[in-house]
Amino acid sequence: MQEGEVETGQETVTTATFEPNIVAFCCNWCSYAGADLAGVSRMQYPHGIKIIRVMCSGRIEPSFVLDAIESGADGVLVTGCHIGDCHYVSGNEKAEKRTKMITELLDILGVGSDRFRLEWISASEAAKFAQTMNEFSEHITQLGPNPLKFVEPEPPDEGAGSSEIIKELIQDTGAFDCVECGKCTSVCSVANNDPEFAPRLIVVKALEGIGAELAREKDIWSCTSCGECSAMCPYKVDYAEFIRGLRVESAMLGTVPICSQGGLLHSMMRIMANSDFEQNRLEWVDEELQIADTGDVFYFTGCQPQLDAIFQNRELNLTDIGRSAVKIMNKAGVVPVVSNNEKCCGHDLNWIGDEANVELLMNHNLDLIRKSGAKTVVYTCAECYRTFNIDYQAMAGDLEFRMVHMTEYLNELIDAGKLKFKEGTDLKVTYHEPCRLSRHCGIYDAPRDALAKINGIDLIEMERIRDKAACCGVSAWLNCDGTAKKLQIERMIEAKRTGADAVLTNCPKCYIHLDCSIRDEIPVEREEVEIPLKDFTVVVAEALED
Amino acid sequence: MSTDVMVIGGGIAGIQASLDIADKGGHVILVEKTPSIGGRMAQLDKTFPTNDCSICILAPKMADCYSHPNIDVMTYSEVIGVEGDAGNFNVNVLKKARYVDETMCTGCEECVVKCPVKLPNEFDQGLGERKAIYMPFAQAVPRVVTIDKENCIWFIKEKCGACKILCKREAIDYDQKDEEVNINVGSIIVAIGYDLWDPTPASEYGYGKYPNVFTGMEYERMINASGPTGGEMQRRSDGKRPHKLAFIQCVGSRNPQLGHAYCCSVCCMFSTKEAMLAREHHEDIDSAIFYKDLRAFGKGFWEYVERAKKDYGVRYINSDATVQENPKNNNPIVVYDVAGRPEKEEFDMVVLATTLIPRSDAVKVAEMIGIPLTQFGFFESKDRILGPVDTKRDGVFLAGYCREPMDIPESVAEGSAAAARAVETVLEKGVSV
Repeated sequence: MQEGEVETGQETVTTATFEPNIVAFCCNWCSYAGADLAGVSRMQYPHGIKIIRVMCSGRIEPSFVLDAIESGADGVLVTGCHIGDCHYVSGNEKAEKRTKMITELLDILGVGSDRFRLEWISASEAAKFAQTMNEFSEHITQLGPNPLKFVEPEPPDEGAGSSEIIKELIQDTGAFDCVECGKCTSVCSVANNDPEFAPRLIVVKALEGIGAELAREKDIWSCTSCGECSAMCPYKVDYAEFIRGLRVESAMLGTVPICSQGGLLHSMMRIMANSDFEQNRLEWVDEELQIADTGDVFYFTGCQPQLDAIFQNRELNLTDIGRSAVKIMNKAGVVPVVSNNEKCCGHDLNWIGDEANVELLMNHNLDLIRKSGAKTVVYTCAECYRTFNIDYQAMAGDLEFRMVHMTEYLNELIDAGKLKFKEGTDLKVTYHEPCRLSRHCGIYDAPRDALAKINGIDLIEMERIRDKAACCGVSAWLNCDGTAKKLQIERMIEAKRTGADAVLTNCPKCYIHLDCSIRDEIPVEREEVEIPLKDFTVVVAEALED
Repeated sequence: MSTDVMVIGGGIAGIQASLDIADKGGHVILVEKTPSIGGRMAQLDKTFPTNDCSICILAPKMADCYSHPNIDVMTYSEVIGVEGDAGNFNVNVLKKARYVDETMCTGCEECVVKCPVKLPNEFDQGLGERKAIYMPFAQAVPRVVTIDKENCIWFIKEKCGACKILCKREAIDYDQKDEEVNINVGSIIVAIGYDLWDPTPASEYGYGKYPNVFTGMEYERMINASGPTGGEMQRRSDGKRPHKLAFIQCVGSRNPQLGHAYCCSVCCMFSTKEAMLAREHHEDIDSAIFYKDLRAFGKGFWEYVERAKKDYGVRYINSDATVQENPKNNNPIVVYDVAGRPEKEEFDMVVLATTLIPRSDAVKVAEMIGIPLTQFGFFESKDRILGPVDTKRDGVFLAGYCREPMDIPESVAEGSAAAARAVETVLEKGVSV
């Protein structure tokens, strides 16, 4: 959706005078013609409805809906041709499938799916059009205004990316030590597959003092911040942080990066940051799992339910990770705090340079953890772990609670004799290292040690491991492109070559990316890449004694 | 009190120091850990910037040194303890048993031919073979064989004994024992040289993983006429000779992350030399040198590089690089950055200019003699600028690479400098040399 097409801003309104702002996406061939007919037939409907014409209801991405909500719309309506009538044969069927995802996502977020509706209206159904509009408007009036605290985006700051700021960034990230040797380019997975991208050039430009232009360049958005370069940089320049710093400046200059799925995830995070809706994120907690509201151990689940809703057609079942984690802890006699009020850690926002919203999310999460009385926070997501450990502590100072990743926690529980594993597991696995956990936080041994302590699980290493492990191709929901696909397929080939029964990872994002890469058409034979992909925690939970 | 000088290390720096002192009438005890003097220079094929044959200019000095009436050369020996002060050091030297009577052995090597145990040859960087009884290299001084006890069948299971049976001069003595000798000297020169860094941990270069990735010293042995391949470059994967060579600089050096933040000071030049030698061997060879910065700082060095470019067609590419492999033909693929764009190029062979590091026993030697180490693990000078060969300990001097990275001419100069300083010490102590 183009900026400015949606009436933004939510004035303070009382329910008595409340006239809902509704965005109605109408397909060109049926619904928009229906609206036209309603118009020429002088049928009345509320003036708060803003129509956006699209060529097909299939054009509506879930991010459009979230964007509208985020921008202050009280309700969103998608209208299209009746099933079977689609001008493009099956566009409306796609819209229908997406509706399920949108409603689930809105429910989890607490926005409520009743602020969204999908209707089929043909070109001749002027009366139905007017009636639908009236009904929906009435319905939204009943619901009241969108309670999201809409924050007007900051106007571009022309002073951003100044040479002083870049100079500071160069100092802070050690880029000052760069000897321009080009090692970064030669090891970079992206550069290896994309002749347009060379990490060395970015640092060299910064060192030459052309930082302000740098902040406007597209190259800074191609980096996956995986840290492969830093791991081998002779002078250990913190390249990922250097790129993040540039992105912060770039964002302040008004750059809007091209995010995957139209920035759906970022929208979702901003909505969380700027609302206090009652979320519905604990549906995965089934009866056999014991969780608490207060206690010593807090399990920070991350965005599993949201991602499950978004990728429901792929049946990833990422909430299995949560179930497995709680199951493991329960077995060890730990009843963790799992909160419905948890919000996203803000990782993806942080890596597109939106520090303000990360801070809002951080304040909320820290407050939540403190109120729970937890002394230890356990993570199953590599991104959450990194964001808490590095970014939150950079912003809020040292945190008073202990932060452990599930792999570390597993070692503790096993060493304390609290976990028993069953006989008869016979699994050869290989391990894909998430960059956020390994290179960013230095956790290399914990997952390997934990696997070694489990009956019947053998680890076969891939060729590129530890600090030289290959990247899953995408970070921060940016740069999902042909290069990313190449990296992912390369990685899956590598995993398959080990001869293992499954490839494990402990980052939901790596999981999604690696899974995605081999779903559609691939440039290699299927048997070269097809290897079951599993989450680390899930596999460990499956090996537990009953 | 003694006016003798002990030189620890029989490389070019130690040899030069010994000769200088001995020629002026001083008495020198040269202690060398390996069975032969000569050191690293003996392993090199040619030397920059003149492309002189390395062993040809070194061997006469080795022979001079060994036969000099004023020099006692103790090979296969190690210093194990130092006591006392300038003018009066008591040094304990462990004379390791070589199980061969040095005075009887003529170096005919008949025993070597018959010895059934084949082992990788350290002198050839493991590329060639040696026997359990061996001559370290063709020009070894002294020309005496040594038995490698760890691998000799006689010492493992008391069988074989072929060498003893064959030796007409009855030089083989299985009962020889390690011997500890106490030597009183007035001054000590430490010239223990360097070790070669093993690039296997830096797996981005593919050494040990891809067969056609070599280290500089391996290449040096290969291209040497008396080396394991008789001077032919051979790919490890198929034994074929390469047509395209890549030399990667600063492998492990100027890299604090790998623990060696210093410039090794020789790899820009020796890679240039190696690339030139390749072209001298075969007209059709195409060489590329990947460098961080080209440090051709010595006299005639830049001209040497220019000559490599003009007369030998060597390409210089300003980028560090990593190595991948084409699985079809085992050709290494070099990945690098040129003018801000990633590039890949396939070669037949990659030669890594691995860094040179302080010797593994430098710490032990430093503790024993009581001299500090620098942050990089080299011996620390008393004053880096005004007293480079002096140490903080009176009467102890440094020469060569064990002090800081340097090339052969500099090592020779330091050998002479340390010699002069050592002689001054023994003179100062009131006894004429």
